[in-house]
Amino acid sequence: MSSPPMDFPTSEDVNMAAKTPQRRSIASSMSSRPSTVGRRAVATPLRSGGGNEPLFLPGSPAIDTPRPSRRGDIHSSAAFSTPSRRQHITRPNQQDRPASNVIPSSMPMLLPSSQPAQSTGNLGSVPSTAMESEDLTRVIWGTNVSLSESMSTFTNFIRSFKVKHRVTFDRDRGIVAPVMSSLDEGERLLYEELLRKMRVTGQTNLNLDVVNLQAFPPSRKLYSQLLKYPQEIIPVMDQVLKDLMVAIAEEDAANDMEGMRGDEAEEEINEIISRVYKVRPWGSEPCNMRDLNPSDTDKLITIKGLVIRATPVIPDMKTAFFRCLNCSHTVQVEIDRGRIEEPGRCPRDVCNGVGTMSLVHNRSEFADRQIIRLQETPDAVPDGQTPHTVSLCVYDELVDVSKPGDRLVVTGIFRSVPVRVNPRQRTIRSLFKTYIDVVHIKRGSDKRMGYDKSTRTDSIRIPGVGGDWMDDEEDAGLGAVIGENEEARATRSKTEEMERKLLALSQRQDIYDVLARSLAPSIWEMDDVKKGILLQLFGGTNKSIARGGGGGGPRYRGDINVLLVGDPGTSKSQILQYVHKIAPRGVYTSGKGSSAVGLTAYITRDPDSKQLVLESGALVLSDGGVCCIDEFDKMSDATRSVLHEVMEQQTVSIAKAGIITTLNARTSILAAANPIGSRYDRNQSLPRNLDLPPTLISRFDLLYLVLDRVDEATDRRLAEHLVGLYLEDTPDTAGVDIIPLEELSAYITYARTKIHPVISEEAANELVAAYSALRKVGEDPRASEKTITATTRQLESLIRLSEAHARMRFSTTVDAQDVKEANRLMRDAIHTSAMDPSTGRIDMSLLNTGVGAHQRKLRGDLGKEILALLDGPTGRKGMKWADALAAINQQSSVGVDASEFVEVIRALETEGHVKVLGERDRRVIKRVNAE
Amino acid sequence: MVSPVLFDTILDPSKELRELFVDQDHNGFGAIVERHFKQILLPHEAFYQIPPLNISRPPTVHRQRSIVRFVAMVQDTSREGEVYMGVLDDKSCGGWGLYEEMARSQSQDEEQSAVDYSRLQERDSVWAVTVPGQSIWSRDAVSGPDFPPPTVPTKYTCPKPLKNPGGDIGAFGVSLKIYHDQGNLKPGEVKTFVGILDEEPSFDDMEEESQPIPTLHVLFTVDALDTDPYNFSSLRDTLFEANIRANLLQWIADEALGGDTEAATWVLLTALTKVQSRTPPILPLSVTIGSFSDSLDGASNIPTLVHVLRQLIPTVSPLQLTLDTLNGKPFMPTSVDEDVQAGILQHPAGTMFIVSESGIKEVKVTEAGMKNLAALQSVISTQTLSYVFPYSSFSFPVDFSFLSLTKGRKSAFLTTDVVVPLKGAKSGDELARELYKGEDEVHLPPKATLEKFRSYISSCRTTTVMLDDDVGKFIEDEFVRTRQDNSDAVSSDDLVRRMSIAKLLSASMMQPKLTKETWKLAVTMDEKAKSGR
Repeated sequence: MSSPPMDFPTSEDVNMAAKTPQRRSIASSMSSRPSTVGRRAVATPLRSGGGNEPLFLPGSPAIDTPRPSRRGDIHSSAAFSTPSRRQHITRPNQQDRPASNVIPSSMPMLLPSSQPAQSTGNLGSVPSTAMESEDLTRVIWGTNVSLSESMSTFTNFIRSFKVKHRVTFDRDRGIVAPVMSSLDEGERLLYEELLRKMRVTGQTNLNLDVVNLQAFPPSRKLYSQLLKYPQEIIPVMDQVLKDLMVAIAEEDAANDMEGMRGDEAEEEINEIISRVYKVRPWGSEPCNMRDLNPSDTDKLITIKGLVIRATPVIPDMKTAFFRCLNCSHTVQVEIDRGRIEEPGRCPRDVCNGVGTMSLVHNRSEFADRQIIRLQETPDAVPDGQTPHTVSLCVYDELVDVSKPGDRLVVTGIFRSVPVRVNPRQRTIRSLFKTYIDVVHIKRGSDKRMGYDKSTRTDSIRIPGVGGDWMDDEEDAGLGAVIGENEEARATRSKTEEMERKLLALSQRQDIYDVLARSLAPSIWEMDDVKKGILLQLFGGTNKSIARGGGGGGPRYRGDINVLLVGDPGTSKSQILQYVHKIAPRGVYTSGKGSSAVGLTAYITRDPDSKQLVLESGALVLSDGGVCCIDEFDKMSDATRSVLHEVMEQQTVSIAKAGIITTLNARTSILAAANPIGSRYDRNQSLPRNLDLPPTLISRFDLLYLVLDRVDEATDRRLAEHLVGLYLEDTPDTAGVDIIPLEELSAYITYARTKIHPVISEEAANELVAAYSALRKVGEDPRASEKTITATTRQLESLIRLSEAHARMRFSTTVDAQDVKEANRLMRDAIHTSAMDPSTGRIDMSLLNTGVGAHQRKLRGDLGKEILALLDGPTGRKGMKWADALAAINQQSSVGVDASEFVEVIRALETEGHVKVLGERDRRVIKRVNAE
Repeated sequence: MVSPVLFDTILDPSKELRELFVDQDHNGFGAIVERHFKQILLPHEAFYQIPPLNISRPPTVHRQRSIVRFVAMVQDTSREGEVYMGVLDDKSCGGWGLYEEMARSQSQDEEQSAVDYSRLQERDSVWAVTVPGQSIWSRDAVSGPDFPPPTVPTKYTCPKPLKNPGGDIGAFGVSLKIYHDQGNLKPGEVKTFVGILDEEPSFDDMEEESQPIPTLHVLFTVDALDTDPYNFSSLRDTLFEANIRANLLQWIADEALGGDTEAATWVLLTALTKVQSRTPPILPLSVTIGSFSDSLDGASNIPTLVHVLRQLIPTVSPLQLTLDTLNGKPFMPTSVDEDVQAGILQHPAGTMFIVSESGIKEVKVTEAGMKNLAALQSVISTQTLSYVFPYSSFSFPVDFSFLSLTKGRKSAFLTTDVVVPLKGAKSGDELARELYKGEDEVHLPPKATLEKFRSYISSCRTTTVMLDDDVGKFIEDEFVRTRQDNSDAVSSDDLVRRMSIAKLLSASMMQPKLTKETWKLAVTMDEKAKSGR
């Protein structure tokens, strides 16, 4: 309702003629200062040119295209044109409408909700004085909502809303408000501040948290009106906003405020007047996509979803510009319900040429429009159903704000428009197309998914000012108080209830056991494995050295990696499947079925745009979550090599098809592997049993052996359990005390997002003690060589595990008990995995290098023996492989392993002591420089 | 005999609907329609008078806007609800395609100036397809004796071919408009939809392109099982001849397996297997038959076993793991532009898949192929199928049995519970010819015998097998004892698998109680298969 400067207000189309003066009059009537119009004229002298301006003005700087005053979201001009605001500002008495050139049929009405359709005329060029007197009577059709009342309410709201209103309101609703820094804080006039900020930063959008309308007692009615009649109330708010922008600017100028002196102020105010201001309401209770029904048509609604597809920007013609081919007379025509009424003849009486008006594209006005498909988020989809989608229309500033893959909370007006059988026909079907004209977009994360926030940065800003993007530093002050975390508030009752439940749960003494038991309850025993995985799910805290070079130094991972090794049929895969289900951003992949490309990222051609796009693989997808990899040992070497980078650097580098990039893959890895020869050989060390490079094995914090042990008691229990399942047709799953999957998932997510434990002094001492104890295990007074039982990697793991354990207890500090449990788990895991079976001692170098100290010593002895053999009489001219092996075996009391023999020979060869000639069975070992 | 009233209702339901609409509560009208038409059409004799819509009677043979019954699998439930004008300007009914019918006949061109939003109503839009892999005899049985298949098959091309999961010739999809809540329709579910067949242009949000697609305005739905003649409970009491099992096995072995009755036993067990419980998982037994020759060059690579089983089981789908299939076609249903395209594995519960590796050559398996294989393996081992949506995928429980045929000792791609080698007198090309002979070369037993075979399988599938405590104790003791002797002899997985085999064997012998003898037989069979003999 502002007064838009026109480029070519030449002789206007009838519509325009009816509208423009009206707008101007409202503008002047509403703004308390009549000088507004005049100012504008001064500011934009070129725009108010006369009737027959030349078509193309020389010097483009002069024509700064003004923003169209219309908002696409409110006054949409697509095929489903909805009523423009002017049609709703209607007076019951229309007799005083000047019998001007108004053609009623050109003003179609689609009135909201249940009101009968009725063609109301437009307001003609009514003198502003007349308008003022009639303001009191203007109402929204079919209701008693008075527009002037709404205007004054909103003005009052902006002028007097204080932070304390919201705080009180929140408190009444039982929401814990953040502590205010001072009493003055509550007395801040929030919106006046925001308006000033808008002026300084040159922004035109005000994001209005509708809860604030509710919180401010005088405007409560406005709140419900806004939800019911958004297309009438929002323009009113826009108008009020603009008027107040001007008013505040003038007050500030009068008060001689910084930056508002003399000419500066003048310029500023003119600038404000030339702008189009938009109020973008948000923050109402989101409803489910499936619950939208015809009765919501034209109401303000909020929904959540996931963007899956977005069209490119569609230029949406707002005003068509016609020029007469004969006399160059120009006419502007507004789009009406997606169609242009092309003037049949030149409106100038002198010319009156038929069919001479031709469209001039580059003089027509266009707005940006984009259609977005929003899909239900996976958690909102009812069980056993597939997700639904809705279409969103976004306009102007909101175009390209969201990208496919974003989770949004969208506020907009729900529309239903008839579907045409065919664009060229007028007959319509009984079917209606529904979509949402978006007024506000909020990008958000879904709480349940709860990925690690510390891994994310967002670069695109959503336009506008006011209580929205709270992570933004400059708004942090306001955000702390207003509209913080509105998503949580939206689902507050539910979330709160869950939170209470979780907190109560965390108080349980046996919480650790209960949670571990609830993890994959159908899996038999394996308590420690479950506990280890549980801690993995909670994860340690990510630490980064904030003051490092380049705005943030290295980041120390808090992710815990777990490897399960074991006999086939020990439900490893089932555990993985289960974890993938509850883990935040859990991705499940099988080493057998995935290539390096599938794990990292692959390049495909987007079918829509025909452009190369990077599609993330499993590791990137699970960034901030858990990646479960089954059949880890079956992976190709190339694939595995990727994991080296992921597990230590936490990134994935890609160089394919001209795309070179590094993607973040800050993921915990839960892997399962089968031993070589499918059965675990207990007489061999772990690296011998596992076809994995030791470098990779050492990157796992916890390594569990899941073995199929023969034990009569366990076997009998197992058999009873299994046979019991088959006794009846539908097995009995009478539960022990376990937490349901959703709750477990919520518990973990809550802990991951809310709890960031810090290591206490006591815990630090305990850590030191535990680590040195672990290292001391290797000291053996009898042995000359020292075996390594723990390295700094183990210390880091210990820290992470302790943090995870504290998190699991919802504790803000890591205490000694956490370290103790972490140490216990760790010792257990090491005990099973890093034990050298030949000595029965723990040797970390087994895991780190694949060869234990004992074995190393044995190898050295074996090497010496072989050299002695070769130097001996039989070996002078070289020995056949098999003969050498047999000879060595003869000497030794314990049989020498053939593979061990290979290793030793290879080592001797690299050292240059021997040379191997020939292939396979014909291999001959020769002594080099035997002299 | 058919009453003329019934006939009128079937041929012109619009009139009936309009009359019904007068003076009714517009909001609950869907329920009224359902009740009304169920009353007329649900009685057995009336129900079988409704023309069936199926592959042999595609949409083109039906009169437009007449009532049909459509036994179909729900394919896509991801479309959002549709808003339509429920009450027209003249206060008449606008749903069930009545508005379009009126518009067609009057060719009205007047512009609708205003929309009364209070008259808008909502309906669900769901895609359903002809049951993939359905055997012809099963389809005909469902159609009833009044609608024998036409002698000359009608050619029909589906306007949306990507909706069809299987390779069935003539399969098509129909867009269902559901006006009254029919419970949660889940993808993969088979139901009988009774409704008004019409044709409506499809419209896409993003493009204006439209093509006419068959549309069924649903009046009511019936669970498919209730109308399946092979599921009538009366059948369960039928007495079968003592040697029916042996005869059946002999027939399968002779016709499709080169005479190997042992392999035939495993085939029969696979045909009977189904999901018994999901938590804890007691899932169907999957079987691989090894040493199964590849087809000869130039010959069809569909094993004869498929044709034979199609005579016995209602839904059988061959899955040829050729490279074209593997790399080219999605196995999982995938949402492309908000339209769920069927994957090869989208089948109704109870489907038996015959996975054959004949025809695979040495070519690179692409990323898509890898995903397909992984999906196939995950369906075999977990009985859940993922529906792939942008940025998310949803797993749905399925209930399929898998029989994999491979030339090698075990399948190159898939892991199954049991692997048994095919043994027979013949070998080489002779065997290959035998295993891949065409459908017309199969010697069918007399029709009565065939019917008996079908009922036998159907009743075996519904037999519940229980375990007595003493047998249970016996099995436990055996397990513990064997493990004491040799830890590698038997694992918990072995026990689980043997329990499955024993239960199926018991069912195939129609014994509701598992005996020690059957258990021992199961163990012998399993050990034999395990040792590859």
